[in-house]
This record gives sequence, structure tokens and C-alpha cells, in this order.
Amino acid sequence: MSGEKILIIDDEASIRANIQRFLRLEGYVVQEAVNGFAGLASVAANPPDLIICDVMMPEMDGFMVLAKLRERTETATIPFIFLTASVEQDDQRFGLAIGANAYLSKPFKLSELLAMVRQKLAS
Amino acid sequence: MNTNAPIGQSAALEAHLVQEKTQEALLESDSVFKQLLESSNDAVVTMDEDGFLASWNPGATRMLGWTAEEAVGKRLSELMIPPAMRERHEEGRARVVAGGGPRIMNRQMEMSALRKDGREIPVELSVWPIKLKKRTLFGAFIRDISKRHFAQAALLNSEQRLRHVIDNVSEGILVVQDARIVFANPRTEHLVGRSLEQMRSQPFTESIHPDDRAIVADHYARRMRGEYVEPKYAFRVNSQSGGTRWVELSAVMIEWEGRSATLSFITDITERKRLQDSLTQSLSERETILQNSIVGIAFLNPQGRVHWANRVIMQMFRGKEIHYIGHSLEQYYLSREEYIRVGSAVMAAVGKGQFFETEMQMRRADDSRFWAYLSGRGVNAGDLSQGTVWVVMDITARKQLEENLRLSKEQYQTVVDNVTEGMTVVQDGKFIFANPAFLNLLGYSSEEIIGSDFTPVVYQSDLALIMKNRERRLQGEVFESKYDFRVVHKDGTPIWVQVSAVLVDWHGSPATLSFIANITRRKQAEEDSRVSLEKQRELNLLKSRFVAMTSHEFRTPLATILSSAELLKYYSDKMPATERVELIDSIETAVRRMTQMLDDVLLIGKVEAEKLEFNPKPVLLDTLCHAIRDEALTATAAQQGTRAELELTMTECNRLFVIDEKLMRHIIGNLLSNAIKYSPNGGTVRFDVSCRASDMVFSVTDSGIGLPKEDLPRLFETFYRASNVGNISGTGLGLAIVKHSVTKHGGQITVESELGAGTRFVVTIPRVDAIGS
Repeated sequence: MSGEKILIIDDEASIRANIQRFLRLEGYVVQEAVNGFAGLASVAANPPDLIICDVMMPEMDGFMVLAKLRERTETATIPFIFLTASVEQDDQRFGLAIGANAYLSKPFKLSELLAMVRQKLAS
Repeated sequence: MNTNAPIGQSAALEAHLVQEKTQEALLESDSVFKQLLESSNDAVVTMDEDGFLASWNPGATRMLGWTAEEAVGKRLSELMIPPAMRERHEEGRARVVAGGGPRIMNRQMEMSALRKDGREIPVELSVWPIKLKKRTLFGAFIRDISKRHFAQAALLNSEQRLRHVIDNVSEGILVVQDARIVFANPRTEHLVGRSLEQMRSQPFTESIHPDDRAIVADHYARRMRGEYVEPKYAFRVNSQSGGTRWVELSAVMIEWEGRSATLSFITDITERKRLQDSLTQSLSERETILQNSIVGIAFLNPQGRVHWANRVIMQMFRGKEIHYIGHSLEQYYLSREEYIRVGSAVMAAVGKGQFFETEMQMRRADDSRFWAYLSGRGVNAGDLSQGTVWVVMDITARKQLEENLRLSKEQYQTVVDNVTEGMTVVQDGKFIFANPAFLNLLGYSSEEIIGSDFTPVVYQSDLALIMKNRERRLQGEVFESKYDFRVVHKDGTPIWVQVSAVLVDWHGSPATLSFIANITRRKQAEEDSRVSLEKQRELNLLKSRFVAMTSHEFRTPLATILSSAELLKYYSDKMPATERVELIDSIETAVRRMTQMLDDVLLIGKVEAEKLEFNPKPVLLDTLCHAIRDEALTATAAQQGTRAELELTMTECNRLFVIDEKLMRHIIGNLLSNAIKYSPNGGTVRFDVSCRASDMVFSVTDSGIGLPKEDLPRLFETFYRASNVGNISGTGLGLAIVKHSVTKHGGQITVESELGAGTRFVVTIPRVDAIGS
């Protein structure tokens, strides 16, 4: 359960930093991206085993990132967890519909995130 | 009959036509009658059964001196019979009427007639009955026989003068002896168309019409036997050339060359006979026409009394006595005054040769009332002396219809005048009717609007619609006829109206009848509620966006706080001290962010409740600006991805100005953080402050994403965010707070922006220097 690569895409620096600290402490290799473009570039350069991505970001939102990933065979199956501040049910449904594997609302408990990450990596 | 026409109208028309036709026939018959009468040298008169004269021709006037006016209505016997003989004459006449004395009928009677000037002249009188349907009139011919008397007298005097007279007398004179003509004067020769020689060679009967030979022979024989023979009788003679003439013969027995013979005088009565026959026929025809007319017809004498009236008149007035000659009509009028009034109007009209007509209520013999139409004219135009001829119609039914129509018109009028809807009729583009409500709506008087063009009343930009609908309607198209448009009041105010228009027939031509309701208030209310609904909807949209945004804006720092707390709680022993401090710092930053947001929300609540406080105090401006710049940098530094740099320049700011520091922080802080936030690709944000003589100018310029032009007008509204913000977070409160804060300072804020190139906000605040600074 160690050495698996996780990519975090979020425009909020403090959230990115906390998730990275936490996942490293749990033994994962963590990459960060500040927005959708950076995220896609990171995937291309160093494909992760799982992606945690914010929905609402300037420039390119999480839905777009997911859609792009699912278009390509080599990235289509990477487990993808949405992280969002939105409480809109429609957003959650939409995210799952376009291929997200899980959905976590901000604020979230780190233990929840960890359970979700483990489950998605295992399946 | 045109069944579409109103009943009253067609009945009146029909009656009018009948009247015209009757009058025409009447006048024609009358004309023949008059010509006959006037052309006769003899006196020709007519009388009724009681001997009252009904007509009196010019010949009668010449002979007896009485004019027609004097004679008509009087008894013939009064005028013409010498007083000594009058009683006898009346007895005889009565006998004739009773049918007991046919002797004078169709016979001639020699008598002495009294002229107006008192002279007596010898005349021949012949009377004949004119049998009409209901009664009998009598015609009388009166012939002046002075000349003949003179000739006869002369005969007794001198042979020579006698010869002369005999040769020149206008009557034929002949002597018959032994059934042969032994003497005939030239007049006789002329009458029978034979010379004396020819007559002598033939039996005298040869000259007589075959049908009359027996009568003449009988008379002759009886006379020869000495029996009584009527002194005069008429028969026809045949001239040699084949013509037939009526002659009248009177004969006496004389001695001729020692033996008895008959001396006969013959008079040509062909013309008289013809006249008599025509007259009889003409009178009879006239009577038939008049009696059978469906309108009442009456002749009145110059005194306005009945001279003749037909059956319809009797039925109409329900009185038999009305056709009595000389009967007064006064009782049929509603009052004596009316009788006199109408009488003088008739005199005036007929005297000028005009036609008199009126419609009036009259009284029947049974005292019931009815409406009568009267039309009268002089028998001779302009000559009242010949009496008047009248057409009378019972128009009660028509009057009733008219009255009903009038009542119903009055009711409609009341409705039209009092209805609150405007009503107007437009024909050929002009107003031809407008009710008070319509006039009131537009502020015009009836005089101003009737006859004027309708287009100036229509609001200019609505005219095309009106013209189009009008055209369609006039072409008979049926369509939704209710529509809204604006009219213009006389004072220029546009008024919203709803019109409902229909095509009508107005005096025979198509016109548009419009009902017009003032809907200005309704329109205004509709507009108001539309606008407020729109605003409400927009506000709701903005609010829900705000809720979504604030939820996001709160959840993000909450996520930081929660995760930092968890890390500190469970992993602090695995972290170096610097990291633990970072976590605590991130919690503080997140809390500050949330506090700031709460402050903004509360602040805008105050602004909207107009409870925003304004506490101006002396503040050192350059220090404040530096502090705000630093805060802005610190706040944005927390957000990754912002690479913008901030440049501050200040001119003449190193002094105390009286401003509200808190509001000034809102103004500058928001403008700076926006400039940084909306410059995602970096660039320099310039913050320039310059204190001028009368004001302070703060300008914030970025080279960020810019603002769409269409968003500029609403940029400072609460919750409003430009359409190009994308996922850049924000509550839509900042600029609203800025605007209010500037306003509190009595200043102004302007914005100029180019999409994709950058934005510049300029705040200008009046300069208030602190005392002593």
C-alpha cells in the first residue's frame, strides 16, 4: 500500500497542502496541480494511480479535466475522486455521470478521504 | 316591395306613389273635362241632386254674367230662373229627381233666363242625368236663342228682311209639304249637303240617317194629324258626301201656298252632342278613379267646405255626412284654433300656387283620433276660387312606428351618452360620430372632432397598425377586432386604449364603429408588475447565485480548518514544529477569510437597510493607503495562482484628511483585491492616489480579463457579477459596498474597461482637510 501515486488538483493552496501532508504521512507519493491545465499536464508527464480533483476552479473546472481524461484510453481508467464545495445535488450527479468514481463534499474528514482513496485504489 | 326596408317607410312610399298616380289620372281627366267645358259657346253646368251647382263653364259666365266662384255651390234656379218661375222650376226639378217627370230630361225647354245684370234672355235648357256609382249628377246645357227669336220675329215683319234673315240665319229653315221639301234655306242645304233642287226631287226622309227615319216620319205623321208632338227633337242627317250630323228640329204647322205644311228649324247639335257625351264619360271616369282610389280624395269649395269626397274619406272619418256638399270640416280638427290655423296656411300656400301638406292628428266622427297626412292644391294653380283638391291618408300606423322608433332612439341615445366606453364612427377616414365619453377621453369638443381626420388622434407609432386593421376590416376580413394602441389627448398626452371595432353601414356607406376603453391604468399596472416581476426574478437569481457562492466560499476555508485540525490532532508527533505552525496559520487565514465574508454580508445588509455608518475622522492618507496595499497583498498571497504585482504611487498624500477609515478600507481593499483576482495571468496592478486642490483621486488599473460592456451599467448592484467571471470566486458584494462607501463620502466612482485588456476604476472624493494639518 505504499508508493502509489496520487495527483491533487485544487486552486486552494491550503487544501492542497493539507491533503498532500496527510497522504504522504499515509505513505503515498503525491503530486500537486493548481488548476485543470496543470493537472492534465501532470497526468501526461507522470500518470498517477488516482486523482483527487476540485470541481470549481478558474480556467478549467474539474468536470472538464475528467472529461478530457476519460477521452483517452491510457487515462480513462484512472480512479477519480471529486472534491467540491458545492452542495448542489445536480453537480454530484453530473460528476458521477461523466465517470467520477467518488464524490466528497468540502469540508471533509481526512479519514473519509483516506477510506475512499484506499477503496478506489483496491478496486 | 323591398322587404328589407322598414315598414313605415315603404308604406309611406307606396301611399305616396298611389297619391301621385291618382293625382295624375285626376288631373288628366280634369284637363279633358276643362277643355270641353271651356271650348263650348253654350253654358254647360253640372248640379247635384239638390240642384246645387258643381261646375260653371266660361260659356255660362258669358251668357249669364255670373262667374264660376259666384255660381258654384248655389242653386241654378236661384241664379237663372226669374223669381216668378222659380217655385215651379224647383217643383219640376224635384219631380225629375224623384223620377216622376222625365219630360225635361234629355229634352229641350225654351224659357226665359235671368242674367246677373237683371236682363232676361230667351234660352233653351236641356238637362241630362249623369249616373255615377253612388249618386247622380245632372248636366245642363243652356243656349242663348235670342238670335233665333229675333229671326222668328223678323219673319213676321217684312218679306224682304225675312228673305235676308232666312238666307243668313245660322239655323236651317225648311218647309215640308206632302212629305217633300218645298223650301230650304242655304243653311239647310249646307247641313244636309244637298241643293234645294236635289231635296225637292227626293222624299225628305232621304236626307235622314236610316236609323232615325222612322222617328222623324212618325213625328211628321203625328204632327200632320194634329196630335201632340214634342216641339223639339234630335236626329241624325246624312249629307250627300256620307257624313253624319246630329240636328235638332223644331217644327210648326203653317200654311204654304194655300195648303198646310210644316215649317221646321234645324240646328246642328253635333258638337254639342259630342261635348255632352264626352263630358258624361269624363265625369264618370273621374268618379270611378277617385272612388276606387285607396287614398282619401276630396274637393273643397273656395270656402273650404266639402264639394265632393270619396268613400275612403268617409271610411277614414267614419262619417257619412262628410261627403255632403257644403259640409264643414271643423269638427274633424282637434280644435277650432287648429282648424283656423290650417285653413289660413292652406290659403297662403294655395294662393301662391304652392302645394300644401301636413301631418296632423284629426278627430273622427266617433270622436276617436287618428294621424292624417293631408296634401292639397288648388284645382287651378294659384287660384283659390276654383276650390282645392285633397289627398288624405291615414298614417296612424306609420306614426306609431315613428314614435316607437323615436322612443327606441331616445333609449339608445341615453345609453350612448352615458356609457363609460368611448364610441365613435369613422367613415372615409373622418370622424362622423363621437359620444361624450369619447370626447371626454380625448379632450376635444364635438365641433372640433366631427368631420376631422382621425389619424392625428392616433399615436404616431401606432398608426401603421391602425391603418392595417382598418384596411382589413373595410375589405370585409373578419379578425380579432380587439386590440390595444395609444391615442393622443388634445394636450398631447398619449393614452392607452383598447379598441373593439366593427364594420357598419352608416347612411348607406361602410364605416367603422369603434368602442374605446381607456386602459392607461391597466397598461401602467401591467408594465409596473412586469418590471417588478422581472426585477424580482433577477433578484432571486442573484440571491441563489449568492447563496451558492457563499456556500462555496465558506466551505473552502472550512475544509482547510477541518483538515488542519485533523492533521494537528492525529499527526502532530510526526510533523516538525514549522509545519505545525503553518497548519495553525492556515486555520487563522481561513477564519479571517470567513470573517471578512461575514463582514461583507453584514455590511451589505446595513447598506440595504440604509444603516451604513459614516464616521469621518482625520486620517493620514499615505499611511492608510500603504496599509491597505499590504493587506491586499497578504490576503491574495494566500490564494495560489495569483501572480499579479501591485505598484503604488501617491501624490501629495502625506497629510490628514477627514475620511471614514473603515469605508475607505472597503473601497480600496475591494478594488485592489478585485484587480488582483481578475488578473489570473499576472501583470501589474497600478494603484495611484493623487490629492488635488478640491478632491482626492484613487485609481486602480489592472491588465486583467476586463468587463463586458453590457455588464457595466449594473456592475455596482448588489450580488451582480460580470458574465465573464467563470469560476473565479466572489460574492458580488464588493463593488456594491465600494459604491455605497464612495457615495457616503459624497464622491463618485467611474469605470472604464476593455474585455481581455484590463479595467480601470477611478474614485473621486471631495477633499476635506483636517483642521490644523
